[in-house]
Amino acid sequence: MAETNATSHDRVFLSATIIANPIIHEGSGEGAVSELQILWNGPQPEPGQFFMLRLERSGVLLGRPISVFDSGRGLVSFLIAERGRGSRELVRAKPGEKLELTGPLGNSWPVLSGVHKPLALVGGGIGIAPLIYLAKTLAPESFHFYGGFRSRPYGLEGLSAQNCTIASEDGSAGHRGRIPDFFKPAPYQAVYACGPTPMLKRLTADCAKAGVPCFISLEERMACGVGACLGCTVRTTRGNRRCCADGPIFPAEEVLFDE
Amino acid sequence: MNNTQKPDLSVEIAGVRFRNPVMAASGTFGYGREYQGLMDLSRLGGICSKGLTLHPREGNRGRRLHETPSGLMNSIGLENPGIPHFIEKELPAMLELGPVVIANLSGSTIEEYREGARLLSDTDIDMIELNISCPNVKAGGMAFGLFPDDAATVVRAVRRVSRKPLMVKLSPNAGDLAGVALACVNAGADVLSLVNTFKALAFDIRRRKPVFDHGTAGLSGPAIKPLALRMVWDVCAAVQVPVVGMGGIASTEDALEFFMAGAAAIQVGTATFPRPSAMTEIIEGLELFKETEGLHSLSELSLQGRC
Repeated sequence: MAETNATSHDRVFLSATIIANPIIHEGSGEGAVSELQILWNGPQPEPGQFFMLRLERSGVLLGRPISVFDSGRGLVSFLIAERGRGSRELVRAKPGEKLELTGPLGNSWPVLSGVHKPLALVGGGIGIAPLIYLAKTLAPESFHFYGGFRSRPYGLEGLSAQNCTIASEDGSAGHRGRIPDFFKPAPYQAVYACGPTPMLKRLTADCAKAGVPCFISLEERMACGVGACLGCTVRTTRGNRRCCADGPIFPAEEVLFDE
Repeated sequence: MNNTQKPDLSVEIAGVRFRNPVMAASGTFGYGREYQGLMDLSRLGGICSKGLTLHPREGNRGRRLHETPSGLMNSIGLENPGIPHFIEKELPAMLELGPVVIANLSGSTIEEYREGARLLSDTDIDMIELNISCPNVKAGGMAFGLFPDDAATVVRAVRRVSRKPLMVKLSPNAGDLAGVALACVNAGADVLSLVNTFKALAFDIRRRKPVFDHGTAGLSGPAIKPLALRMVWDVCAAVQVPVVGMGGIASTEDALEFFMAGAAAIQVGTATFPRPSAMTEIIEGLELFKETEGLHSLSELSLQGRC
């Protein structure tokens, strides 16, 4: 079984300028989603890693952990979903504003050796971000992407239609329903997933049944982001793990989901 | 080239030399290494380890963090690998970092505190910070810090087995904080540090339950600074030993207020989370202030007995 990539990459605390932050999705009953892009001359993030983000003029105390959606050519971008005060001010931030970032943090998606079958990348809602960033580094024939949304999909530019399957709960795009309703892990080398906990739980169970390795990226409330405060503990079969420093990506079969 | 020497901020507390009076507060800084690369660790005056107990602890279940306006509530519950593991796996690297190494010691029983102190005394740590103020555990922790007699009992027990300088970390939740402070000093505390977090409550209105499984949790951050400052002031007035002040310090200005209250040094905790550079910025700010104000020592700032 492959381990997650627990390499300790370079990370920095830096101020960066927002160069674009368009709202890319707005749906009824959902918060807005923006694609926040910054100028970045710090260490290059690996797919699956995240940053702690906080506006310099922020009205909240702590940074927010946000996965990398794209990176390269001196830029890093993030998908931000409006959930509470902290994410709202990030979604509403204007180009030219200053952001304080700590990162890149956490581990990255495992690189499996001797892969013959494709990988399944399964993202739910805003959870697509770290998988899209991974997909951009993979050969098109080496993966199939599944994206589940409440309603209209977003953030999928750059993926080609033939290796992409979409589902929406209201049937406005692709399959009506949720990805685990129809997803079969058997044809895949491994499943990499990020999204709502109920989705991750179902995928974990389905992959275990099919004997397919599954890696899931988890989200927890964080304070430090570097493994110091122990606020983002994930319970696993190997004891407590820190989501920020030991994760956010864990072998699914090790994660003990809370009842 | 700038070849001017940096202003000397060094202080001696209970016989331990600190290159400056700024320390990382326990529970917010792991064992130091966690922040490597994000700041210059060697600049710090001291680092207080994560709260340690004799035996490993898993900490609390459920939510552990909840942000409030200018504050952070936590209910970690003293998760730690146990003192033997700390000594073997974490301490050697911590001793290499440069700052004064302070082991934060907690326990559920007097016996556990005593045994933990015994083990720590045989290491190269510079100081023990005795934690009698953690609000997030069922047994021990803060229970020892609420009343003078209980506090004196645990301090005396640890004092008897430990040759290390002993700093006792006080709880702001004690009814008679000055009384607890005096009892600790009389029982052998060399230094007092305060405040730990304030016992606080938050509800999840959607689930109609407390946010935390334990109900209450500890509040830190800028929200508590004026309260902490008042308590540091009161304790400095009551005792003769050095007092290390903390509680919501996030800037040089905040730090200066604690020196004005009579603190000999300060600790910074929650402010490091959003700004890993918070402590080094405060150190630079204090250097600048000392120089521009022509101070011989930051202790001159104390207003104890002057207002």
